[in-house]
Amino acid sequence: MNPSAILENRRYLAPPSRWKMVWQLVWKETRQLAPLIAMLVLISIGLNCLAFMIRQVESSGKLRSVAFLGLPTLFAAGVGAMLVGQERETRTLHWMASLPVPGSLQAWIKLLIGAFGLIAMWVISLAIVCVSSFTAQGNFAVTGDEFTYYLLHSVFLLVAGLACAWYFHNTLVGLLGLVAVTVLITLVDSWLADSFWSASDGVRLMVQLAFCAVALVALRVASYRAYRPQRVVRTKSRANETMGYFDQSFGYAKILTPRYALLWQFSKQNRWILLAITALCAFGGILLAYNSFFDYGIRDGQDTNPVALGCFLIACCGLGVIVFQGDSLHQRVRFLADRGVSPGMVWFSRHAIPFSLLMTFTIITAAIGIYSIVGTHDSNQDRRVMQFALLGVAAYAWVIYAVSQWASQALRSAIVSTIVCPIVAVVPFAYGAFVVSECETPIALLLVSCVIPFIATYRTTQQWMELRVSKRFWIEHGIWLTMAIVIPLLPFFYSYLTYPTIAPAQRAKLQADAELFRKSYSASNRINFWVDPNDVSPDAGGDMMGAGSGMMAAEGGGMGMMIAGGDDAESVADASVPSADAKPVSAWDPPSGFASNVLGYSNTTSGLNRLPIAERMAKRVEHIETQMASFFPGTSIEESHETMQLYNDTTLLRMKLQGPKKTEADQDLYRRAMKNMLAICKGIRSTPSLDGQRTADRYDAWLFNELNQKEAKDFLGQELLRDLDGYLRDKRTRQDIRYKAIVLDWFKAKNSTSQVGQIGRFDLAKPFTSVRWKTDRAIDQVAWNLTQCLFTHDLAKQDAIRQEVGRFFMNGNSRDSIRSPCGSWFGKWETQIDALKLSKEAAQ
Amino acid sequence: MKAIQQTALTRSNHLAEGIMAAKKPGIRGKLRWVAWLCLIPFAVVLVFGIWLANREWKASRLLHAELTQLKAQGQPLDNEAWAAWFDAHTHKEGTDAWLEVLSLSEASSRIAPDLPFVGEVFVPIDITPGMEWPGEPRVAEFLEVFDPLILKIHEAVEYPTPVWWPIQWGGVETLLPQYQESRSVCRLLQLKAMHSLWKKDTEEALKSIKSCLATASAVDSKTIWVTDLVYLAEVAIAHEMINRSLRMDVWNDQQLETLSKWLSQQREPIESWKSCLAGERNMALTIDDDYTSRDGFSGLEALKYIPRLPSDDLRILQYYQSMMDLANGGMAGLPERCSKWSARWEEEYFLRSPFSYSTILLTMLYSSVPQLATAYERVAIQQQLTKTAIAIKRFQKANGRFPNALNELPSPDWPLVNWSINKRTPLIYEVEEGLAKLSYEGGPGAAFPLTVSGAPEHNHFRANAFEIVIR
Repeated sequence: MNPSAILENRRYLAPPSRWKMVWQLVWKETRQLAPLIAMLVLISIGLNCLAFMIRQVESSGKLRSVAFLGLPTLFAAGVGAMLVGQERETRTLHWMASLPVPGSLQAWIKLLIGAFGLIAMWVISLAIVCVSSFTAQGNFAVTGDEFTYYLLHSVFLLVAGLACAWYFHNTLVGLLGLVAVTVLITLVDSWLADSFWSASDGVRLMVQLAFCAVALVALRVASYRAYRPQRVVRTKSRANETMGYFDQSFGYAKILTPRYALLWQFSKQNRWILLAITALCAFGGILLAYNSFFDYGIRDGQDTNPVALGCFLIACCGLGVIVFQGDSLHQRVRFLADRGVSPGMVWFSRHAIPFSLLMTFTIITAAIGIYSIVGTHDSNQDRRVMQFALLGVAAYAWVIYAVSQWASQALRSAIVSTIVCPIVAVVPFAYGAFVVSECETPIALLLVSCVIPFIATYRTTQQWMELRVSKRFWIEHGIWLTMAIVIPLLPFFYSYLTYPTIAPAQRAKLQADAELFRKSYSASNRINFWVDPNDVSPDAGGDMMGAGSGMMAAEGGGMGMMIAGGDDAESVADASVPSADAKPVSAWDPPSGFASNVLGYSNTTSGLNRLPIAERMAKRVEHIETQMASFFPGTSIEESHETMQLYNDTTLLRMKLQGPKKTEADQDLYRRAMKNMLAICKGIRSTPSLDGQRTADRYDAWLFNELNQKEAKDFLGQELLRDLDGYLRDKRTRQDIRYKAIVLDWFKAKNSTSQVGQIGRFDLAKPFTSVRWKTDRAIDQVAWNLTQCLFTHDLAKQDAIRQEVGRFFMNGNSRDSIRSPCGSWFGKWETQIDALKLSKEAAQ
Repeated sequence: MKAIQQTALTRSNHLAEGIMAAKKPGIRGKLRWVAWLCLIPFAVVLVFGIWLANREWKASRLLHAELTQLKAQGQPLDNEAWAAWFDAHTHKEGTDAWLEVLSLSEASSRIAPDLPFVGEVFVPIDITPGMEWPGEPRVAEFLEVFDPLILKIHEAVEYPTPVWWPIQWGGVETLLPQYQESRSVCRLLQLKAMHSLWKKDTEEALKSIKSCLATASAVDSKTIWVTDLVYLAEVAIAHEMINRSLRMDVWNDQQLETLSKWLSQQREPIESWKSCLAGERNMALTIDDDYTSRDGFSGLEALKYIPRLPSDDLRILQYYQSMMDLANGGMAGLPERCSKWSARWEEEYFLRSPFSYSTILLTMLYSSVPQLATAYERVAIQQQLTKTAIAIKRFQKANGRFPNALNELPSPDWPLVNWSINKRTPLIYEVEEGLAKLSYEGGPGAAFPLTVSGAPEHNHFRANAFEIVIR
């Protein structure tokens, strides 16, 4: 023989390098995990996208938190099934054991790859969340403690999952065993935490570590057992028994009935899984009953026990998965296909048992919910509503089942579908929430979508039985999936196409004007009156209690020093204007204790000031005069406690002047107060917001009312009357500022993300605020109608537009336009102001 | 060979046929498992569905008839109808005047927290005309500023009542600020009356009492229980003003007669009770399925997740109708009857269908009904006691002495109420040291701490106790 050939043969015959062996094993295990990683990453991205789509209803960030924590947790739970269970399924485990590769090495490599994979999944999950945080709104609801807990929990799941996979011969049973162990550990952990060391997180983490250590020992034992040479056990073959036994046990004739045979076969081949699922449901039911009857869980204001819900979720997923995966294991379904069993009968026989189990579960859950209320004579309303929501769990179970059975047919691997189903089952709920909240889909239409998975699996059962996973198979599933997605959107498409809006040219005009006005208006030009240096809360003014209540003074409105700014975060002002920087606009510095010393305000009666009330009124007038002197001309003023108090004082002064006890000092004070009120009215009028304009209308109406009073003209003097006359008769300025208010509030409403459903603090009626796009169109229509109302001279048309606008607002109707922005326009005072003839010039 | 094979085949065929013939099960045997597994749950659901559909179909027919009848009676069942109903049952003539008065009166409480009645200071019981009253200068100075407003109030009460207010109707979340703030008008009048009595200006005090009663009439639109509670509170303020005045011995015969006449002119409580509960019923029916709370998630908002069936609306109607009928037995003992009825309702309906829309909604609402009944009875008792006290005073003026027993009083004034109906405690009348005292502890309600500044420590307001001292 050629020496070189001998050397070559020796090279092949020599034992392989240990490192090369390790490297090959690592490569193999990594390849095995790749589908699971890809699937989970895709699902996580999908959930984050959904969280973004339903950000209006899901502002708490819970869905993103679920995606963040769920990705590594599911991976950890699935590693055992993927690395060990899959090898059992393909029967390569014992083939590997026959090779000169130590079983312990294989076990350790699997654990090592699982651990590296877990680290990678946490990193990927974190990266996805970081990216989604740039776009999504709301909080991300995971605390540091929770993160640590779930991190350790995932390590436990990884080790325990591998141990279960090594121990159990059936993969699905192994996964359910892992669920049972996890539930048990969680309960023990909660019990220990509640009973002994609730205050110490450190001890709790130590307990988690202890659980991990125990799981590691179990893993070692189970893997050793798996690679141990199998014992040959002679079992009694029932098939070789006498016909009598066979007949007695199963019924020969019954087996000849295909329907019954299929049912029998399903129940036999899945008996352990069905038993495990029933046990899981029973366990969840016991927890639920414990919650309901023994003053635990939601009765203390907590949510329904999540462990019970988790059990139900996994049980329903399990039921869905075994519908088709029970036959996919070891390609059992070929047996049926080869014998020409009807696909329809196969479909029905696979669904019958899970379906009836689910129905029973629904009835029992409902019974527990009802009896927990009736039996315990509980009258707590919140709790009863929660219990009702619990009944919804039974309904959700059907959706989870429908999706799971679909996934179990579409995915070839039983293991992948088992791991993926719990998280895929969340997708229809997220999608349902999206279409209901954003597209206003009727719930009934969602029910149609829930039926489609059953139709889809029925239609494709034959292809599935014949293992024909061709393009046609996927196209057919794709069509059904598309139908399930599109059907709930049909009403949205229809209403989006037919919903009224304004012309693009009209919108462009509003946009152009808004851009123009934004440059000339700065929020820092707005001021409030503040009088209490200890109360700097920028919540001035406050809403009037009850719209249209005239000059009704309202609670609220802080009292503090005079500051600038105070507009909300989404100011119409340019971003360059630092509106949040509230600074004093003047050097005016109120004396310490001004509120209690001068105005007599105090929260307690012990420190009350004894200053006479008449003197306090005079001080207030003086105080506002001082502040007004420091304002720049054209400064906007926001209605506040002080402004309301001033017009109350002014009215009381005028009433006093109309009586017999009037004095010169009172008359002078009244004149000064009216002068202040005129300045305040001008300041409020110059606020370019619809709410401000409405307030200005009230203040102007009050001015008009004051001037209409007997002898009022005599008290005020010609100079002030001329100013009042000039202000009230200046219709052009009033119209201009109203138009500016419409346009700026329109712009703000269109670009606001926090005050959706409002235009200038006026709430739109519910039908127009149900979804954002409808709100936007309603805002367009309102703004355009307001501009039309403003500039039309036809009174009938004005009324018609006012009624049309009133329709858009909360409880607005043709009779009552109190909450409409234009409800106070062109009121009695505005139409009669010309007839008042205040000053001599006007009289001439 | 062939024959042997044929024989064997024939035997095996016979054996198979025999087995099949012997063991072939009937249809019952075939379906037994399937029936157990599938049919029973389906049958349960089917029977339940048929029963539910039948019940709701019957309920919808009855409900339709009831709602048609209510609409024919002009009962408001939506926000627009509420606005129309309110327009039709109120008067707009005095609205402007009242709005001005309300605004300024509400301001009075803010600027004088250190005064009795309008502020938060405890009111001393014994204010004797002409004698020292430490807080009087402060009160006088305050009233000097607010006298023009009080004049305006006296003018406003001349307008027809009840008054129309600009209310934005929004179902159960309708804000009623004017009703709430009208109490500040009464408090201002109460201060004015006390000060006038201290000055022995009985005409002015009489005007204040009259205006207080008229303010109550201005808000007496019999809309819902909140508006009715405001009315009752304001009437109670007027009663308190009269009761305090009787301790001062300031009224003449004619004034006492006038006071007695005003008290007799108060509204018919049974009719008010019914119309108020009708309003509550209409509000409950006004709640739409898409209700959104103004103040975040509330119990009512949770109702949107619960199906609203015709039987629910029917039950709401029946519940309120039975509550209205409770008043047919008279106002005395009404709170007890309400409580008993509520308890019975809870036993019968709440336990029968704990998850229904109507149960959850009504359980939220019904707790307020016994409270309203309590307020009704309290004011009724207070009114009768006040009238009795006036009758005692008039007897004293006529005879120069207090009556030895209440049965000495003339018939129209006494007895006007059957005090024994509640069987709580008897009405006590006693004369000591020139003072007559009427006391009664049988009213509804309980004691609660009085947290008013200046009040004696551990002072408790006893809602069920009444005491009138007549000088």
